[in-house]
Amino acid sequence: MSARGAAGPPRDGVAGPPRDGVAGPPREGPAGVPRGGSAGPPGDGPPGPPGSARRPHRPPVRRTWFLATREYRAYALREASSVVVGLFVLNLVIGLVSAHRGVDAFTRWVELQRSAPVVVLTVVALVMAVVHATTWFQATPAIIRVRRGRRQLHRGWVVLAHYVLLAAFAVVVVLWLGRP
Amino acid sequence: MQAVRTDVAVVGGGGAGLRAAIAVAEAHPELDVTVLSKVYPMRSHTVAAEGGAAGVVGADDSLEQHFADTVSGGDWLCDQDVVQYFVEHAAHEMYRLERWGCPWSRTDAGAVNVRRFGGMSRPRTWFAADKTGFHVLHTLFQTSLQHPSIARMDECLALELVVRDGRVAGVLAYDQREGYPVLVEAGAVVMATGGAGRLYAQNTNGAIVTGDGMALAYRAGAPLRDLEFVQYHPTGLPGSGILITEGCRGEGGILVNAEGRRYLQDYGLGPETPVGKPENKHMELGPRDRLSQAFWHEQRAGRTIATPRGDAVHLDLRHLGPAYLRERLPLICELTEQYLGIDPATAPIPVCPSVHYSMGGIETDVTTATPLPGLFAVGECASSGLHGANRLGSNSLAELVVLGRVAGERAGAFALAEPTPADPRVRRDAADAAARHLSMMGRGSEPQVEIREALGRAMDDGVGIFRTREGMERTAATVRGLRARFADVRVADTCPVHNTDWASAVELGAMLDVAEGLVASALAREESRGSHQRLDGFGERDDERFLAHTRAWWTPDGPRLEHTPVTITTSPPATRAYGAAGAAAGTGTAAGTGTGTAAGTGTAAGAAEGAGR
Amino acid sequence: MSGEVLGTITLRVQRYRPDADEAPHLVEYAVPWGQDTSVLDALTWIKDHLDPTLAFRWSCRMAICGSCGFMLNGVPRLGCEHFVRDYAPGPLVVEPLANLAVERDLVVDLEPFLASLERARPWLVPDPEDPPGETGNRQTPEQMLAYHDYAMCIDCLLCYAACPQVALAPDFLGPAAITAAVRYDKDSRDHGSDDRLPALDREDGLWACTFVGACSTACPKGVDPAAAIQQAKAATAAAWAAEFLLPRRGGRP
Repeated sequence: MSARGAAGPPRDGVAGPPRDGVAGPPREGPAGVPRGGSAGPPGDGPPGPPGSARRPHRPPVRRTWFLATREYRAYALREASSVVVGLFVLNLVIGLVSAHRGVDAFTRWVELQRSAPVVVLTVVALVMAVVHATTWFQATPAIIRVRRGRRQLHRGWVVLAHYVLLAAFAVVVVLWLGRP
Repeated sequence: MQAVRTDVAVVGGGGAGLRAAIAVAEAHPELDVTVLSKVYPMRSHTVAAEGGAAGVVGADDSLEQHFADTVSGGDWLCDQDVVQYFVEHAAHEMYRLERWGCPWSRTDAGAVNVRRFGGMSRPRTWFAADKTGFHVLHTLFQTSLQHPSIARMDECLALELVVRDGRVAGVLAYDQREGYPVLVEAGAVVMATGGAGRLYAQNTNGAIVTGDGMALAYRAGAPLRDLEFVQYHPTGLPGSGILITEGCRGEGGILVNAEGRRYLQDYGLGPETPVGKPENKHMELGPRDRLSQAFWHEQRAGRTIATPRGDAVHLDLRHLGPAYLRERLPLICELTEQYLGIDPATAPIPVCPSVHYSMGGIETDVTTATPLPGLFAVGECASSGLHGANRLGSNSLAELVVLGRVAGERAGAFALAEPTPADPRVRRDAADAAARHLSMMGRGSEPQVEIREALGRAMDDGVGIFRTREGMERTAATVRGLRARFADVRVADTCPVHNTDWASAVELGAMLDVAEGLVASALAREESRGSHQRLDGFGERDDERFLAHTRAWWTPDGPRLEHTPVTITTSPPATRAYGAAGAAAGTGTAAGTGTGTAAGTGTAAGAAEGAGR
Repeated sequence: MSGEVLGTITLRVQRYRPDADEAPHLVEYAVPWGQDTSVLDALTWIKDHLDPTLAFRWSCRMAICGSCGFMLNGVPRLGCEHFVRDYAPGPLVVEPLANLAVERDLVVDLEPFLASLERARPWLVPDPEDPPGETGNRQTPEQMLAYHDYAMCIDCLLCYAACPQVALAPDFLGPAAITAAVRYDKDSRDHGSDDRLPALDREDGLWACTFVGACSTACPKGVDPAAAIQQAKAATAAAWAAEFLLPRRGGRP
């Protein structure tokens, strides 16, 4: 354990003097975000022990951090896709509720599906569902590792397996929907 | 100036220091132990060691053989009591590391695997891929975290050993994070600060290997020993000196000159062994000093390869195949690809000797105690007597854990037996010393880079692989001149926090002190032994006059030298031979028989070895 | 540097003196470079020839000590294994690792990480009922594969600089600390998973991670911390479900 900040003898026990990032008043933490969301003046963390010349600068976090790199933008898109897909699901739930209310309500809902905004939503939702599926399929090999002895199954097979399952499921659904 | 009290202060957070701290925590959990390090422990240079750690485990191996290999590898300058203790405990300590989680590479059945290494008659080098030092260091660091009695002071630069009434009272250090000096009052101090390879321009070492602890002990009145013995690792990358592990040769790599010839057979290491079938102590598995000396001769003869970064020979690993290379030597593949754009599976690697290890250092006995009461020293900063005039590869990592434990236990026992009362004079002395060191900030006119580079060139030229009186005296004069210039060294930075300009000046001062001692010791040794080789008429070993350690005491007028006896127990000096000659001679005496010299003591094992397998 | 000079590049380096500066700012330096001049070499050249007050961490020069992490044109990288030739003609912007407090120039505050590492309890816990004997544990190469990549972490903190949650989520353990815990959890010799669980299974532990994946992209050693974290999430959630459905009687098994 670090004896940082110990003006007296290093103490026994895991607790020790309050350290940056561990519970203790006022912490610096690993983050660059000052409490309250605004970038304070440099060195607004706890002062060091008497005589310390430390004045650390905490870099402020921009609200649009997720636009800064390609990787972050791709991540933001992936996360946003769930929102869009969620909205589409909401639309379907409304359809279910309408069906429950009766033929008239349901017919109105079906008509609504033809309206321009809902068509746009549907198309965008389709695109986002594809984005959602492909990004998460790409991510699954991180969690699903298949190994026999010393040989590791290539990540591509895990991803492919997801697409195969998706295709199979889609075929089943289409066949079931299209049954006479 | 801040002040803290602790029972045992360990200076240096590398393999030796961490092992010592853990030993104190385990043997004496009631004691406080504080580890001071100028870098975070995982940055310590132990992390760069690659090849492995030696310990006897094979059924056809024995402590006697490890002993014999080490003593002959050290050209009989080893203190044999230390060697005996070491070989007896090496495997045990490495099994301890295993129980702490160290990922030693394994056989298919799950036992620890061992490989061949230079100068070893049997495969006994434990390894963790080709990152053994990395894994050993991280295992020790992570293990140390579970002991609440171990406190750390990270990024604290040790400035001075405080001595009072003839014994060590503590360490004055500078906390780079907070920006103020700190006195660590301690009952015992363990110095574990590493070697001094950065003295030389061409070296495998990281920036931090500047001999700080050696200088601290030296100035405080502890002697430095055998400084003249500096190991050139035969295979560093030209220019940067980045280490290409001996493990490459243990796995079967070969060295060829510009003519494509495996030239080592011309230097007493032959006959040429078949490619891909290395034999212990033959050819590329000879000891490091012999291999580096062979390069020097080849270079003189114009048979080395000129590269944009300097002369080199080729380390050829192509015959091992890409799959084997990736599995056993992954770091080497990464390094050569990044730094040279070379894939070792398709092209040979240019390599040349680079300073790698300091056999010399703070004098200790078999208990790691120095002549200064309360001061212990362990690891590369110490001269424990284990390595003698030339270290065998993979003995150093093992030494860290074997003697690291001893240092911790002994220092703990000392602190318990002889506690120091608080003494206001210690604080006063420390405050004065702090003021002196800090007064370097913001003044001076001599640029550090000039002094440092001139020192590096002078050391390479005068106290390199081969030495002459003329060359050494020239270097001694250069060092004197540089010390004078250092009195006015420029430290432009006055910021108290993370003042790296000032810290590198402190390190440069340490390097100059160690360099002075090193050159004087080299001049005084009028023989050739191990890694100290002379071309000025003293080309042979002289056991009559120089079967002795060189001891250097600091005085204001320069080092005062003495020669002290070597502890010989069971292995009287014999001819140091490798290759076929070594096999015929039985690699010196087998420990335990202690009879006479080389010829005639050939053991069955020795003869069988050279006869090919 | 060894070899011939191929050009001069402008480095824009972030400077900050806590005793003199209000805030960090960029300073330009013109640095000569050759074929094998690393970014680290360029920084040491500045220090040796232009401005000795420039502070940065470095040591081994071979990407194993983890000291020399910087943001190079906004990307977290080790200075010793990236070369000026790949950034020429420049300019090359060199800043301290993101998301961590800046102590001075290119030196960042590592204490929060060290504290996180300790919370993760990254040490081997032997079987309390059957501890290994003198010759230690058996472990096959196959068993070692389960954790070996996670043991390659050099604590360079490029992953902390890459991870947005390190900036956004207070007290997030972070990729390297979690990976250290997972490294031991998956080591066949270890019996300490229960001890590590409390630190992992919290809002500022595993669950602060939203699988951005930038940590694994940044990692210079192929550790794949993102994989370690997601696997730990899966294992922790499964253990929770199992506990919920089949609670263990009394103490731990």
